[in-house]
Amino acid sequence: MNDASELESLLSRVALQDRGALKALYDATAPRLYAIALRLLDDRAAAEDVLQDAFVTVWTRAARFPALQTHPLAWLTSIVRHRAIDVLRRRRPEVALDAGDDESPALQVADAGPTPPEQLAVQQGDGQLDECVRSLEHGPRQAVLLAYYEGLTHEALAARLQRPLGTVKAWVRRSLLRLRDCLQAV
Amino acid sequence: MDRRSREELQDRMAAEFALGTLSRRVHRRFEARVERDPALARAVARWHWKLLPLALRVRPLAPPPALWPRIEARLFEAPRPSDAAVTRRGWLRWFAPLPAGALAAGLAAGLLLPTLRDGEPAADGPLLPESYVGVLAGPDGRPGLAVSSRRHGRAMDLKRLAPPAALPPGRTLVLWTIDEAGRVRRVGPVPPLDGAAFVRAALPDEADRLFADAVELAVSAEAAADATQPAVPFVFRGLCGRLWPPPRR
Repeated sequence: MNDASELESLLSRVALQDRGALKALYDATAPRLYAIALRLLDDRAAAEDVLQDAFVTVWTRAARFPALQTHPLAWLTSIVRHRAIDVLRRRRPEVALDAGDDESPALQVADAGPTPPEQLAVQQGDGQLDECVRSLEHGPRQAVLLAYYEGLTHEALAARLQRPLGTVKAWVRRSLLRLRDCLQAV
Repeated sequence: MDRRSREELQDRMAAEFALGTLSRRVHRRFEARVERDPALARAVARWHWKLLPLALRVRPLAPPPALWPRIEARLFEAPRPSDAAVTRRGWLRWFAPLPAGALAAGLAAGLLLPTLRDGEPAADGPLLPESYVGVLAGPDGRPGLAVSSRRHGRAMDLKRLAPPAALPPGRTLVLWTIDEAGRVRRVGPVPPLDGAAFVRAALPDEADRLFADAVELAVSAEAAADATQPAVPFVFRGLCGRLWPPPRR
């Protein structure tokens, strides 16, 4: 992971409209951000567009970063995820609970096989995260991971997991609380 | 609902907003609130930080080499407007539109006025007269310059917050405002800031008329004191805060 203070110093120069700093920031972070966008959108052209929009946002809003008091990579990731989810919302209308056609996403869930996030190319094992995620029960874990990596709303999760909306909402809430308490802030 | 439960509910919504599970309409409404509320923005940022390990599990993948040139072209290719004619469209191409809203008071208030931290006015009312306040950062990202002005005054106070960095010789410092659309407007020259004391400078108009639309303030080092467009990169830049309670909705 890139050194946070290095990224912060690049961001403050970007805030002053230093073009070289933006390029350096791009070189340092684009591969991670692109991979996240691609995971959400499953479409290279769309992921490229999102990355482009994200860096325009970084260029214009870098001066606002200090007020957020957060890690630079978390901020950059949030811009990319936010933009990608925007695209997803416009592209895929909310899935009705009783979507019954052959292409229903619910039919694609293979209970026997690995859940989608576990098929991800995983970087070096982050012990604490793995432990926290493993400590979740199956349903809540699937819900929060699908939400994060595929950008599903509660409604879409309910359709995918074939569970009532209320159950899925409770699962997501439970997972978030568990992760909040489990993952220690660095 | 008591304050504690309200804070918990807000934090839960901030979490779901960061995760992306809110339905489209709720998401949009919450997004508007985040734009207006610095404390909420920080809560959302905290959640993005909490969820960051999930993002780091995804193996990085280099984007196509053609992508950076596209970004460069979009941001930087606008030809510099001539000194004589500065067109509005020229500005908009340099500084792409920023979403509405001013996350203004957070940083400024937090640094200068502990009693106004988190945007909550002190129980017995604000301690200072209505003022505009900006804490501008320098190239190292740390606060470098504080600017303040009474809301209806015609002067501003400036104070260096860090040892002076080497400024190009023979240059005049000029203050600019940046509005929510990214438009840059000249305020006026700033006197030399060598010492640690407050320096007072006249404003060309009442502060309220100059800063009402400002989301950010920026200082540039100009070769010509009457420059109508800023030389970039800026020397200082930061949010423009307002130190009076917002009107009740």
